[in-house]
Amino acid sequence: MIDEQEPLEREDIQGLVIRGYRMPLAAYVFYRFDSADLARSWLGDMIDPVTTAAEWEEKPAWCANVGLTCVGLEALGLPAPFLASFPEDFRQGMAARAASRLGDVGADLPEHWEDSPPFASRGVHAMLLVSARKQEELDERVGAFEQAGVACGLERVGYQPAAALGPDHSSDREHFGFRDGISQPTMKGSGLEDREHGDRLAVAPGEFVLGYPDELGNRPMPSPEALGRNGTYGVYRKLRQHVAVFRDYVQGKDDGGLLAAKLMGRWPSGAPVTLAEHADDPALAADPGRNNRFRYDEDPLGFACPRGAHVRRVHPRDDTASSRRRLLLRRGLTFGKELPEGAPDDGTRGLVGLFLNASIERQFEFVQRKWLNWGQFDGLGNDPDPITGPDGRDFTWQRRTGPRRYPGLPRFVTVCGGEYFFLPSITALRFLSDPASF
Amino acid sequence: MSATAEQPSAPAGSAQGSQPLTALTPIIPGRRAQLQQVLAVLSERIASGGPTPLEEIGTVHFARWVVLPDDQDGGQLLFTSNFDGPWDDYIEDFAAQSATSFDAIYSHCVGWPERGAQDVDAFKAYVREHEIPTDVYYRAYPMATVQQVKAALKLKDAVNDVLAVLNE
Repeated sequence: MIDEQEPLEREDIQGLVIRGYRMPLAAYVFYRFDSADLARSWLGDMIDPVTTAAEWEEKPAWCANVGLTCVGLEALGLPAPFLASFPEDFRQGMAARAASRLGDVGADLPEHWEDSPPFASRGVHAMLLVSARKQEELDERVGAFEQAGVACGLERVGYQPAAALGPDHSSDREHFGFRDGISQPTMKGSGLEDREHGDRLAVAPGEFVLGYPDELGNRPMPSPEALGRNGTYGVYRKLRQHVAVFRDYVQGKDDGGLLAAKLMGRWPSGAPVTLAEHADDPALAADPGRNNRFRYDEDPLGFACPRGAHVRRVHPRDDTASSRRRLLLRRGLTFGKELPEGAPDDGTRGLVGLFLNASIERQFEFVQRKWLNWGQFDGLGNDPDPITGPDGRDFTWQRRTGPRRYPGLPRFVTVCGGEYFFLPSITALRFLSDPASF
Repeated sequence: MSATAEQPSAPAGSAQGSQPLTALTPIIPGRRAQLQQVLAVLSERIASGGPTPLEEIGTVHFARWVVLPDDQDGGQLLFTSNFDGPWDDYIEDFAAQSATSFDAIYSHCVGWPERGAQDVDAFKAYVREHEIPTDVYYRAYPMATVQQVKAALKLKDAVNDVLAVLNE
């Protein structure tokens, strides 16, 4: 649709928008501003340390990124016309839209969220994300940023550490034991197109970066351009995983690993059940040329991969014009320690998700509401996502010999909180920190 | 009938089941015949069973365009539709999958956005401006989606086939 490629201004875009850092440790620090002037000078101080998407000569030891909520922009004193130029989803924030726009129910709703960070009461102004390769490096960086924040009157209202599992944090699996992060959309002009092994066509950069043409040739962004262009929206969502409940459920069935794989749509190794229908296939999983090369329209009834399976919902792989408008860049990491087999679950582990998109309403909210939380997805009846959906609903495993229904699934994942952040460009950080701007 | 009170521009999520949309747009004077030609082609394509964007969207139960009787060369185009809500999803799907068809029709109407349905915000604003709230809305099967109806019909055929074999 877009013939002429507009080069991405990489040195102005926050780094994680273009690529995942693949660093095993991270800390999310949440702040409230006290004084607008001091907070603006803090943003000015962040211009230099913030990691951009400029090419690395060598991989750094740490990365830093910044996001602001709408309440935060207000607290900075951003004039009303500029605030009004942001879309309604971002202005209202996640808590206000959880029930209506995300389709969250029951224990996922904001009244049950964790008190800290105070997302439910919209008490968060800014998020600082520090990623690192080593724990000492992370601690040191976070400590240094903390001092700078305190000097600018920032009040820390939340802290979320995250770390990859396994020995030396070297695992790419999540707490349920499945390999994660295999498939990501690719942006035209990101330089990553070739590395994606033909998984999917690259999409227009405007689906993820504001100010560039999206799949329909539009380029909506907040004004002024210095504030909006090269920014994006980051959806933060903390998900607690009830590992013992999940293990009990799938191990309580006689087909053990098979049911778990059918719920997820992939085997623990990452092999898609679409290609490995009956048993795990680690060789297939390890082959980047094959582990993403499949579509569901070859299995329309869901005999290989059930139609309600988790990965089939988050990424339907049909490459329709509509689906190409619902893509998300996923940056996330596990939190909490691995639960040893058979140990009691203390409920302190899960996944911190940061989902990047140009339109929260069209992308993240649509995927949550219509693909994950909607029980009638793809003609199903009462089957929301079996991994992330609420309890008491069904999962249907379509089989050639007739469907098998698993009624009343327990809840495996609960939302602990979340918020919508604007990830400003370097130019925007300069604009926000410059007293001459407003 | 309580559902009609929140139709059709109610925020997504509060509207359950299939939704109505009615829009009345003025035709550009002198373009009435051209518009009728476009509609005739579309009608033929649908009648012949060819693929249409409406089919691909997969959430539209019924859609109709009617050029209202008029003495003059302009007049008005009426659009009525029933779809699986919510409203915003519907508009977004139209913009993504049926922009060309919509442009072919509505470029003959007054006030159509310069970039057509692909300019989603302008497209939404155009529909909002011309939509007429529904006063009464009756649905025989309010919660059945297009996909469910189609699946049920397919299932019925399959069951009948099995029964036919068993009874041979």
